[in-house]
Amino acid sequence: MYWLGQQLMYVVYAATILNLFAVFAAISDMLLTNYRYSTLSISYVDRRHSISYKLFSLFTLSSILLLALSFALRSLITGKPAFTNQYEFSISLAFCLLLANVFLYLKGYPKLLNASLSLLSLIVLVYSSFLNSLPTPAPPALQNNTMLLLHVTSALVAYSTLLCSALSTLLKYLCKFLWRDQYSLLIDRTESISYNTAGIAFLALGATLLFGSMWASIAWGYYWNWDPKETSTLATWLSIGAYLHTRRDQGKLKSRGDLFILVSLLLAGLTFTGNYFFESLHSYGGLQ
Amino acid sequence: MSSKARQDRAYVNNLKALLSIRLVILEISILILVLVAATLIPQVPLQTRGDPVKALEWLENKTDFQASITAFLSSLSIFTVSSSWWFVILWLSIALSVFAYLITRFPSNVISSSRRRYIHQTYDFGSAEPLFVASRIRAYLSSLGFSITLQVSDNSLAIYATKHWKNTWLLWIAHLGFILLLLGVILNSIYGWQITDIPVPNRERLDIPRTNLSVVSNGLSTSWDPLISSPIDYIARIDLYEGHKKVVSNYPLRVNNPIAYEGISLHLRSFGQAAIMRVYDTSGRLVFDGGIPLTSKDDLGRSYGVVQVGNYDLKVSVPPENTYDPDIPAGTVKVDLYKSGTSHMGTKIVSRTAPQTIDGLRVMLLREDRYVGLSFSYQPFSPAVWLGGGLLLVGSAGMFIRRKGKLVFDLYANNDNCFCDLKADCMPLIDFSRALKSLGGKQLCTGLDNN
Repeated sequence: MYWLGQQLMYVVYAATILNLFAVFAAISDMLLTNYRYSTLSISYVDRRHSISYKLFSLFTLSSILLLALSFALRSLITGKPAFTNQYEFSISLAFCLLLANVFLYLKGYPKLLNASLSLLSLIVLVYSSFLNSLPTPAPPALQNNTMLLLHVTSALVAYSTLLCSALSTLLKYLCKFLWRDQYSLLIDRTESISYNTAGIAFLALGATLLFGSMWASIAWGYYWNWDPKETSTLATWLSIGAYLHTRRDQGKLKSRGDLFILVSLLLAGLTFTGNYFFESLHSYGGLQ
Repeated sequence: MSSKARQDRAYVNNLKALLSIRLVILEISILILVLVAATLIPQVPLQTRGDPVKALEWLENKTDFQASITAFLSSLSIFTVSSSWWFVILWLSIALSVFAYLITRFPSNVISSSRRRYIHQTYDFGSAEPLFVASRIRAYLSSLGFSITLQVSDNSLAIYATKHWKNTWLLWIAHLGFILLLLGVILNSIYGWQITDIPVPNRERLDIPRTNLSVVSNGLSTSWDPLISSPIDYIARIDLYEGHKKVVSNYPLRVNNPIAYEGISLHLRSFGQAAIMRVYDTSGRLVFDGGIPLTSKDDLGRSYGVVQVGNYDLKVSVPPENTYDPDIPAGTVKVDLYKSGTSHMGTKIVSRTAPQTIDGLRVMLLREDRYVGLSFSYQPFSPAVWLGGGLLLVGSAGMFIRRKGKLVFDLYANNDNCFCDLKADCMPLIDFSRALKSLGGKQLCTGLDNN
């Protein structure tokens, strides 16, 4: 059965290749059409998509379907949600990033951000291809499917929305740097989406911490251990909270608040790759 | 000014300082820096902090700093951040700010208050008719679910729009949840306790400290996965006694299936080998009869455990599992005897059939068995922690889903141009400014208005 589970990596490879095509299609769309128009036009408002952009949508949706198939089959084979090691978490994160991409597309978002999210998802998928893909039984501490589902799903939502928020903040500065204030509508939109996605990230990361604490309380008898991953997640959550609070200020604090979302991104990166740097209760991530 | 008035003014100023968003941001920023340091710098495990010798030993193994630097950093609590007084003060200062928010921004006061801070923006709509612009704004606000009131005067037109205004409660509830969570954590740290990973050899009784409870482990069953060569499940059969009365019988204790009894929870943490030994002193008196959990591992991979017998420390070692060890044949254990913790008195290989005498102590091996590592926890204020966390999440979710809004659009014509003054309560104005820009408005100025 485990052998069968490992063969699912070919499905993930196929999804990675489709995602690569999606990124190529998005870049072609920018290069072949009016660069600035295509980059900054808002997907939902602008219905006049080129063939390359339609291909981008098709490849992205196909990639999502393949990753969903891989997740479902792997979960069926192992009898638990496929989240229990770094490989499975990475695949799920790429899946969530692509889902966020579709959601933002439907909500009306600059095409450049759609392309950036696809590229990010591709990077995560390529990173996962270097990890051990052999499904393994969950260690006793992880054998609580309800808490596993709640804790990890909320973490996935948190990280994918945080990445959206940070990317849109970066895009805002890119627009400001390249085109000054000619595209104030777009700048407002990136700021709005950055705030909204940061709000979801704040909620989801709070839920991750709360469910994680509940789980630790069930498994070990204490809800907080100042484990490095717990600590860095708490720092990330506080940083997103600080960003949301700065939005309530109309002075300099508001513009400086963007720094917090970028700090949150770095901290989330540190948490995600933490098993390379520090010993943690979460070291069953397949890296140690 | 009377002294009472001065006192009142000082009180208001202090509250204003505590409520300052800049102060809160500063506090959170410092806390983030500290947490990042606590993530990257190895921290002494919570279970080790009570024992300075063990803590120092742990630090020496984990840090690459020179001893003098380690000692200096230790004095600043860099390796025990979460237990340091300055870390607690940092959290308390944030809690104080949030508490000040709670008492001054009680929602019913905020809703009825005539003085609030508004964001103020002015837009120029060029030669458009104020009535036309008003109708567009009204349509836009209606589509967002705002309740709208129009007020027309001689030369201006005002649109009052409100939405979910009573949801100020949600913001308040979220902050209340944060305070409740912190309070629960503080009270748990004062009144709660936890004892981690106490080894209990099979068929032995352990009195749980601080209680009149005791546990007996009736056996341990394990399942191993050949693929990863590690246990995929382990179950201990546990009896729980209150005094002499058995209150829980043969409970299948697993990692995610603890026992909860009168506020105390028992958790299965680990398992391992144990050597069941008997030791007699020179006069033939039985001085030790029980299991020695082999909880540690030496450089050669041997499991060992140490037990104190009178003035002696008895160290019992077994070879690594599934490995041939020429010094310790299968079915035997190696016994090292130390006096007063340091002087090595001798080493003997002891088997079931061949008891040995070291420095007058007769050591017998009865059998090799297993032990289970149990953790005990008493956290009476955990419900406050969960309730606080829940309120924080529910309040935050409500704020994002049902965002409140209170807006005033004041439209007037000046020199054939149509202008619009927009006043909004202190929530992000992005959506409305975007809408006005998309209707052809050009933003002229922005600022804060206290009336």
